[in-house]
Amino acid sequence: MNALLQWAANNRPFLFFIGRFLITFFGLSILYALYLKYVELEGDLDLVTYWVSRGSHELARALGVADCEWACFMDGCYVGRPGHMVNILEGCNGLKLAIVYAAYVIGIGGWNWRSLLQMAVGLVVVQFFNVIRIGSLIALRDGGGDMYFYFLKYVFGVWIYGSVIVLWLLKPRIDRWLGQK
Amino acid sequence: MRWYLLGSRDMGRLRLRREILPYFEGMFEPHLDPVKIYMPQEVGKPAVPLDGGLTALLLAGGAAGYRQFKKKKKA
Repeated sequence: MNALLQWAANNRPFLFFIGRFLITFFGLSILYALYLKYVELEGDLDLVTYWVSRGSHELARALGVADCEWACFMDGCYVGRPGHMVNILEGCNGLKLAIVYAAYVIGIGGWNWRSLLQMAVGLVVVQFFNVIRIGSLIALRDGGGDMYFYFLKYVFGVWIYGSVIVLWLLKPRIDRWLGQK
Repeated sequence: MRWYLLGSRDMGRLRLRREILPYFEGMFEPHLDPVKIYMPQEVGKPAVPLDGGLTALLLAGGAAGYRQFKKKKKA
């Protein structure tokens, strides 16, 4: 017990970080859940899923998916050619990953303009990676074959989680760019 | 009536045929009783705030933060 208290006393900044990290994560998650509840009551689709699916649709077209269709409903969007459509649900929109990234930034730096700027940029970067992920998925689904399943199961999971981890690893460098010691 | 004297090898074969082989009869035939097969029931959509990937990412965030504070402490 004494050793634990000693460790806690020596690592007080880290414990503050963990506290801020978790409080921010759960706070932002609750806000997002309230927003989802609101759009559900309105009979609408959340804007993040809408824009991610729209971006993915454009990317899939740029990747050569001819006659790519895009239709959104209350529970998500369908993108691709008839018979090869990909269903983009709320859980695919990557916002929860952006929330984890934002919670880390706030956990390390606290609530200040640098953290808010990094939160906003992080949200855009994660969504950028997500649009590449889903757009490529639509193109692979359109092409047919087993590659779609391998990419869906392994590669794209690593891709989107990797984007958050790379942003975390770049954070000290970004802090230096922003003039933080 | 003729009598045969069975050697130990013959006794072994006889035992194999009468006692052991019956255990393996039909071993490659399906034994599924359709009535007893478990059919997954509809469980709805339980509200799970964290999935496995997010939990792993939170743990990774904690580890990355610890690493950063250790570095700062050393510097």
